Amino acid sequence: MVTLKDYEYHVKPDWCPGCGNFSQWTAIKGALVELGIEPHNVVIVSGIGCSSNMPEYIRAYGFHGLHGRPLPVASGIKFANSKLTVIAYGGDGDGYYEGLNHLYHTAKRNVDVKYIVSDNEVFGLTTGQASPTAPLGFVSKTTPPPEGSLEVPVNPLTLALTAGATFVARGYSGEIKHLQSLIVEALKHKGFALIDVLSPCVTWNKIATYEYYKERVYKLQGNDVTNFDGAYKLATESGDKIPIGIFYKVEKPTYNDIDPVLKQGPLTEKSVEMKKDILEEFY
Amino acid sequence: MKNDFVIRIGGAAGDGVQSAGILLAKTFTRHGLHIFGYNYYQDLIRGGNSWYQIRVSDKKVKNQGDGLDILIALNEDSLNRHTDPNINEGGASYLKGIAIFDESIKNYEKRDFVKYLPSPLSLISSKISKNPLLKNTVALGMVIAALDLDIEILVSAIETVFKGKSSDENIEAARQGYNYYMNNFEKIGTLPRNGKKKLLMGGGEAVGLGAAVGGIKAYVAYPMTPASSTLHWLASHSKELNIFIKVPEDEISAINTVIGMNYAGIRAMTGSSGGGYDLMHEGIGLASMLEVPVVIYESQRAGPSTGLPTKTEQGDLMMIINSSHGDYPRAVIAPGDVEEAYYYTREALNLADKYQMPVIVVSDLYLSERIESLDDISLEFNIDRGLIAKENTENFLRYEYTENGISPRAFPGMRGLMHNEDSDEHDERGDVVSDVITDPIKRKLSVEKRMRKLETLKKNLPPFKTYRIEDAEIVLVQWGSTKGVVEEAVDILREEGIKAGVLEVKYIFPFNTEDFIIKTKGKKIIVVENNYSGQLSGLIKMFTGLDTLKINKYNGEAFYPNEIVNEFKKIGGA
Repeated sequence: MVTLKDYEYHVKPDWCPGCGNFSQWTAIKGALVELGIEPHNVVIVSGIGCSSNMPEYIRAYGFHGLHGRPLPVASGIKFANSKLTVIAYGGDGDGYYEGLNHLYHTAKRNVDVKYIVSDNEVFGLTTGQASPTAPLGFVSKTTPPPEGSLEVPVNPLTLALTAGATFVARGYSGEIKHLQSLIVEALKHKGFALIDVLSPCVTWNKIATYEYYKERVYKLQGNDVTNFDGAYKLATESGDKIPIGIFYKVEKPTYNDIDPVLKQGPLTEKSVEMKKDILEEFY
Repeated sequence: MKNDFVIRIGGAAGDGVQSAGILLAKTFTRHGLHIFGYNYYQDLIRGGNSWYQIRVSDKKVKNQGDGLDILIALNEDSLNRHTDPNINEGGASYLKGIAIFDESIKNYEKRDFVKYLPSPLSLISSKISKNPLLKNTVALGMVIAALDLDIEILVSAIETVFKGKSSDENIEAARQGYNYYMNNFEKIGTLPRNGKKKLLMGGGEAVGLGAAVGGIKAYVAYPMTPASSTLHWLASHSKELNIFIKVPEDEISAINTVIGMNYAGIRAMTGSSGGGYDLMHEGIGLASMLEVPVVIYESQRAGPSTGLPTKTEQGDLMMIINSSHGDYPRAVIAPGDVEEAYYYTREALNLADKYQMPVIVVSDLYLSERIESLDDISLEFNIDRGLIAKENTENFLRYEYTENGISPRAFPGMRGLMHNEDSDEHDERGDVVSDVITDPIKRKLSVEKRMRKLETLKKNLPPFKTYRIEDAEIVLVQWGSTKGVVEEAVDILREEGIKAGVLEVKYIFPFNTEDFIIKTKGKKIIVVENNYSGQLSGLIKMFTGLDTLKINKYNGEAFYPNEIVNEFKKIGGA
């Protein structure tokens, strides 16, 4: 039986006390244990940023790569070995600025990787600059007052829906059990899954705090997760009421299911066999 | 008796110039003859000036060749262009031989050195079919007659290339062209027909075949000329060879995807030209830091920026060697012809696994888009996956500080070997040493461990390949696609009594300094390169301290043998 101890690593997180990433760390491990997935079959792939240090703190296979690029790496791993559980993980700067291109196309392809984004609206590790999800008017070192941020924030959920993601959810670091249940559902889902996690940055974001979210967050219940229009409308809700939960979930073939070579099984299990008559075409 | 002919088919893009060239080449190799095919084309789909040159002989031909014996002119512009002594086609010779063209072309300047053969190409083809490209095949039938070759072999090549009705029409066109020539003109030479059939292969195809035999299970690349010929060949063989092909959203995705694949335990490759490769730099540094093997195929074209998209150059060498930031191990290999493109690509895959570092196979348009005849190639290959840990190894150290720098790999899915591979500096276990408290001792040890792999590789490098160098007083040093043309330039110089030889650099980085110094000792060195600044020449100075003379060409076109001979004399080579 798989237990939490199996996922315990001797290196411990170096995030600020109170950081929302701790909840995600707990919820990810909890979800893997709940589903009885063994650590040697798990790969956690991340980008660069505070949250992206995640694979360093979990006893599984970890890949801590480049800023914005966890999804291509995760896709490559899943294309090579479909038996693995592949979780891509990173922050909002990583995924919605530098890596946005990859999010769109990975969602569109329905590659069977789970993408969890710790969304705190700032660049934490580079000392709090406004990120692509920072609200209009957000004041930071790079967006000084009085104007603050001049950009409309990215809405990751509507973006993923538009791209064709088959599983779109939002979690909140203040609700660990709920978040764990979302991750469990994402892991059980066959196809690409995005979970955007509202995650307070206790050091650099004095607006989107635990108190702020506590007053606004509510859990979705009874919504038709197969209704695209309904999901899209819910995903645009913001301000005083912020829904968390599964917005959209539909079954579609994954990229591994439809590609003529991949659908024959994991590439890692194929031996190289050269056609004897391969040179014929050259005569 | 003349046994070496240069044939050029000139027209506009969309006229079927390249298809006609390749069909002719296949006809020659099925005769057992050797060929070299060179594609001169523009960055457009219709119009402009394109031509395809085939050199044919019963001996191995190493380049597209000086001179021009037969011209098929598909339009008036081509007829005038290729018969003009002031020809401006980047080094190609003007015609001193026969010109085959449609009788409707009247407006051309008559040259004494050209034998004009106006022929009813369109009339013959229009009686067979409405397809205007059929007149090209009429002309090919005429070429077969002119060289006293076997029309049935052209027919067999048509049957292979075309299918159904189109095949029948082309066969008829070829026969009528052949008969027309036989009835009206004299043959210009005789080539032997009895040699063993040769393989006909393109440079890009050879890279693809080398990759397949080398054991890749995936090729992930964004299209870019002239690297795409490899992508196309592999894509067309994907199902039969069980190789996964993916065109991702960009080259950044391509390199990161193949790094993920190699990390997961399969061999996977990517490829591009300079502009796309530029986007991969950060990924190349990542692979080197994580010690994930990856092979990247870089086929250069004339830069900078978009440059000349359909023209050749060797201007990316310094960029490739210095692809990413930081000090890191990598290897750079430059095959010199089609055969080497095959052998070195598969070898690169072994090297990458063995040394767990990025290996870049460098080609260029001149090599990737040429076709060559080959006597034979071997499909036998021993795939060496390098050092892989055993499951449940106690206290597994992914980055163990070993003497040769090489430590055991482990793939996800293997039991008891879980670890983290990190772009941050890390220790033997893979744990980060850069965050909470930077560990200067471990940092130093980790840098040295990675760089030791380069030292190990350097010790195992083969000596440089050479050509006629034994008694040479002057050594022409070349790298990559210019191998054949530099060798022929040396043959010409030797005939004139000049003791020249060639040193061919295939493993450019790391560089076998010791062997280079031994082989060039007491000899004058001239570095021949298809670039402006003499990038290999600069590297030689850096690696060996030796000064060299330089021959450079950077007008977008490949070298021709006599061009090198002339430049050699100009710079006082002898």
